[in-house]
Amino acid sequence: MPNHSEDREAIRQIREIYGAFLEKPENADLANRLSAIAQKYRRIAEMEVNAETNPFVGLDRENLLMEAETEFEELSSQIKEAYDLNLSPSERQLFEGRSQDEIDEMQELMKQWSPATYADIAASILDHSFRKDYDPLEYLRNASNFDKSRAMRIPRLGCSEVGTVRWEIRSTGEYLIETPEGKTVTYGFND
Amino acid sequence: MKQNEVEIFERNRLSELKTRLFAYEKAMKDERRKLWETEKESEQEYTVWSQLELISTYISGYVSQIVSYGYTRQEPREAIAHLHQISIFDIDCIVDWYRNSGDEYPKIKQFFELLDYIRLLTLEYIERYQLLELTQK
Repeated sequence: MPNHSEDREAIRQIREIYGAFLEKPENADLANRLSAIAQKYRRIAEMEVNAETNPFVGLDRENLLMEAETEFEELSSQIKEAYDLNLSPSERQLFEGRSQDEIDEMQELMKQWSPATYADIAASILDHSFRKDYDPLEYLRNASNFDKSRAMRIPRLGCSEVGTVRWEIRSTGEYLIETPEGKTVTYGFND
Repeated sequence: MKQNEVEIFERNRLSELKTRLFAYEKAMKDERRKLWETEKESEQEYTVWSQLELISTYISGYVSQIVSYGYTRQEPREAIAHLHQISIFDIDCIVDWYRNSGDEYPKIKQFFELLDYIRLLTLEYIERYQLLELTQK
């Protein structure tokens, strides 16, 4: 008896990688099509059991299997394409190998940053976390948790001539430099 | 070499120099800490360490764009003006520090010199490939 567990495994993998992406309302169509294909594979599995008693089921099963495989191939490349289209090259690099929960958290934390002279915030985070020997997510978390109440603001009022505000914690060497609007340009430790 | 080959060569060179700059940076942590310790009580609007941090961020940002895309999203004239504005050896606090610090910070000085060289190459790249393109349109 043929074994289609590989096909079902492929669907499970797509759900694992793109789960949160597929849950977004704008992607409901892709999610529904994936469910329909999963349903077809379940029917195919049922037919395999029935084929033992009814030889005519075999042909229907073959047709349904071909249909499901073609649809799955097409849909999985559409899902990947839609997912990638939303991301810049730096974002793709930054999020590679991350779970959707981590990506969501990173995207949320990145809203606190300014791209400054970078193409986008992701490109800035890639460079900064590398320069400062941090995992990018840890870097974003630490910058977000910077405690301004313990820091000295320089200048005390307004911003410097080049349009930045610097925060320094004297006891630890931790610092954060931001735009007048409060968007982080850089963060780190003098250690 | 054809023009596009020269352009790719220059982009790769900028990428390599940025990598080298970051390697210098990782190797100068002791000097950076020392510099921070001497400057932290000053409350000066401009300190050498903070200029180093900010200017290297700005220059790396432009280089990162050129390496990835071959151009900057900022208008070429705007990027050129900014790169002139952050001319390292025209900044008072850095010049004074250079003059007064003797041979105490060789690694940071090496970093500044490479950074300024990268800044000049970035300027030249934008002038040659973005500004020229703009004026030819």
